[in-house]
Amino acid sequence: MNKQSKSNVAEKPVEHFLPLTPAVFHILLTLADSEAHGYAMMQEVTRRSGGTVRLGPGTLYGAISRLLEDGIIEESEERPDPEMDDTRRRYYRLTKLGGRVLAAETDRLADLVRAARSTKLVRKLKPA
Amino acid sequence: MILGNLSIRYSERFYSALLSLYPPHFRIRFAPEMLQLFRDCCHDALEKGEVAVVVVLWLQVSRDLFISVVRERGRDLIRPIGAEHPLGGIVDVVLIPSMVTANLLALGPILTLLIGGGAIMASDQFVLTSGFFSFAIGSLAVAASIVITKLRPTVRLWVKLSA
Repeated sequence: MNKQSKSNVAEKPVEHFLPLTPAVFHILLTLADSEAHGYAMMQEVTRRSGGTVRLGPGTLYGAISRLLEDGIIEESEERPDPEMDDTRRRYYRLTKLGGRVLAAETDRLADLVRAARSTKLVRKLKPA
Repeated sequence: MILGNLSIRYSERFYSALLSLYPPHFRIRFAPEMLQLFRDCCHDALEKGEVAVVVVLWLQVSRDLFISVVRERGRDLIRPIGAEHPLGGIVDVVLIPSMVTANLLALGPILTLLIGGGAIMASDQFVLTSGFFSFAIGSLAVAASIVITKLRPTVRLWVKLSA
């Protein structure tokens, strides 16, 4: 990621990146609290989604590639525990823009859920 | 367990070879991490069961590989020409219009004369025919130029690896 592309990204409004795909939303959620490497992201996404979202290596790194280009995530130089960890692994973390994108998408989904729940049909069919 | 370790070893080699299907810039950046991830998944699969679990993993990975290779290749095609190599970009920008202009001026009429075998043509027929040939050759030139531009990183990588 060079400086020029970073400055181009900074000009884009958060709405430009919305809506996020389920895979990207899960990846950003995983990185929301701590940085992680690819394998940790993959496991966390599977665990959080109850196995409904499974990211293969190609899908995961395709998404990471786009998120890096957009300046939504960045590679982290720090290692949580260098002695316990494989040095070949690369860690990723959210940027400030990434945090704003995640918050905006969360708001968008919350509004959507609120709108859906306000309909008679959804209230009627609501599982017990 | 020996069978499991063997299957992992060969799975890794095969997956490593399959990674060459991705575009060069993507492969150079992410292939080591993807291979490491695949290795971790294989070890996970073996912990859960025997070789059959590795087979199930391969089914999932094959689907993922096919979809993501098509997606990344598509992204690579629509990437601005010369985005990674500014000098290459300048050559493309100069080369493509030059080739099109040159053939519009010369190749179309020349080809018309050659195919016509020196037969006398009405002027409007000559212009129409040479225009058609100019357009056809121009389109081929543009397509060839784009293909060459897209193949350039692969050739460069191949030369680097074989050196």
